[in-house]
Amino acid sequence: MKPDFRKTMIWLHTYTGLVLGWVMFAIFTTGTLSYFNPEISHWMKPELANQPIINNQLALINRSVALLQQKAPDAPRWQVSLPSARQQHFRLAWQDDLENRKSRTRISLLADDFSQVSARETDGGNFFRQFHYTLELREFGGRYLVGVAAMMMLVALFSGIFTHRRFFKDFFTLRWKNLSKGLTDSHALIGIITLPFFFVLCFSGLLFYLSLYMPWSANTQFEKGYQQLNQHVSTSLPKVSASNTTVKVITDFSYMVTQVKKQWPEQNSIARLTYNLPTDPNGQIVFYRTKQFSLSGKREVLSFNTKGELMPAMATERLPRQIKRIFIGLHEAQFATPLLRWILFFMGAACSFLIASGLILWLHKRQKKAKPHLGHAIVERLNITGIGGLLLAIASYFCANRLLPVTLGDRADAEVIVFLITWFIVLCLSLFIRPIKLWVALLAMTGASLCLLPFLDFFVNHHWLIQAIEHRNWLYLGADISFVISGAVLLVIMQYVRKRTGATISIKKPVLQWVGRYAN
Amino acid sequence: MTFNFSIFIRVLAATLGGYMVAVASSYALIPLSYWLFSSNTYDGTLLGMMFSFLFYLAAIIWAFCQKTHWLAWRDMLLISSALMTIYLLFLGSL
Repeated sequence: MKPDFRKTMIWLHTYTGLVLGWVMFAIFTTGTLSYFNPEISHWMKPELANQPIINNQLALINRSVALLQQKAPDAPRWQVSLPSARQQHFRLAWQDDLENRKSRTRISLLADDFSQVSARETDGGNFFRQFHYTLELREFGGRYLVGVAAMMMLVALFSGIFTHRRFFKDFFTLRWKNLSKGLTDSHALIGIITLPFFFVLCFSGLLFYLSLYMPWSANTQFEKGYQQLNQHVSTSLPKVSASNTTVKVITDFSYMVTQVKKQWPEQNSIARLTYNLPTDPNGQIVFYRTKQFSLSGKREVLSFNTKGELMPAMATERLPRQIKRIFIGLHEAQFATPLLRWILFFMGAACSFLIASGLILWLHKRQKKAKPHLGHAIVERLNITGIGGLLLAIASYFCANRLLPVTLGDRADAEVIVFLITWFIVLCLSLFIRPIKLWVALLAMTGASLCLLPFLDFFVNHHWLIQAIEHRNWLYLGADISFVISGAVLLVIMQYVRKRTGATISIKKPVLQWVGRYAN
Repeated sequence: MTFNFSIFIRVLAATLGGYMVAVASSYALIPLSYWLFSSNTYDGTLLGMMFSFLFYLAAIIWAFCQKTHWLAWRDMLLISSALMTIYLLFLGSL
């Protein structure tokens, strides 16, 4: 190889982008959806969706603690998750063993009359969040694979900058008429726009599992490795220890809540309350603020003892830990206001498009020049499965949420299985159907099913949508509107692809006749 | 696609050799941050671990830009041993 810097960078960009391109696309797409994790979960649990918002947090807390006292008088930890603007889910939980988080029992309540509701079993938006860093392969090194992909994306990003001969001229060139040129130009344009976003996301993504990717220095420096390091750089509240005496449980929180509201004046500022050792004089009451003001993703807390006195605040962490927290905070973007969240969402979607267009371009350029090659055929199949198939699988996950019976056992897993099977079916189809036809069909199917989701929602149970309109529940309606818009966007892309390539989907006549007869 | 020995060795230099540089940098940054920022080994180790990925990135680019694939390997070994030396020299004073 000759040491021509630019040529080397083009080569690097081509192959780092190609090797794990489909994994990168899956990570970015599902990660982008995770920006709206609570909102998606909200839509996917319609039983909990339409609650009147109650702004009197003190009344909710007092009543919740009274209820917890009835339900679990001996539990060493009670938790109350209060509904907020983004997270309308009102939940109580108690833990039978202070050290073991798995001993926790959770119940969901309606905030107005405290009646217990049970929602359908689903992972909701959390599935996307987990998929985007484990690829459903948590036990099989999924997180390592994602780490490798993140590192390769950093290389692809850096080398991508140098593939431009004329940075500014490329930025202002857009040739829509031709599919290939349009893709090249939009790839360059979006690449430049999303450059800082892409860098921050990939770099901060690597910091989540530092101890998996780069554990060596911590292991030699400290006896217990990264765990010990983490204990020494992070600050936390003092641990409570039980004494053998008992006290009465606090039932009126008005004094504490007033104190808390003095420091956190915004409406519904308390996200959560934890009551440790409620019947013990060493008990502790901790208030957690909503994350919207915390760039670092670390919740602000205020803690009280059983006499209602405010305890000294947690020590601030030193710079290195804060650097890590802020990168992770930027990655998760819990602080983002709705507008900023949408901007980030579009940036994420643009990055997914960037990766997809890069993959398609790789193939397109080679198919035009060289004679057919096994590698090209494989990439073509993987493109269809990795890009089109994933989109259809996501749509099928949403459909499965509404269509699978609520009483089904292991329902949450069943939804994920529908997602995976759809993806696998597309892989099988890609072996037999002519690529461009399958592309158009996949885009059409995904677009149509996303557009039809609100109608499906309406037919399964019309109360949800009607109530959402009555209550002006923008979380729920917003999800429905977003489905329709993203479905429409996919249909527009489908039309564009169809026009530029001349592919048509022919619907066989018998099918049409059957549809017609059914409609009559 | 034909198997290209030179590229294969270079890719190994970038991935494995580059990772070696990254690991070595995570060690070397411990004494550096100890002297520059705070006299706390925990902080230094965390900083070193975090910023080692940037060293990895630089090493990968470097490995692909070196004239021949053996030179790429030589540089990876040189840089990582230099970084490890920094760590070992100051190990006593940590």
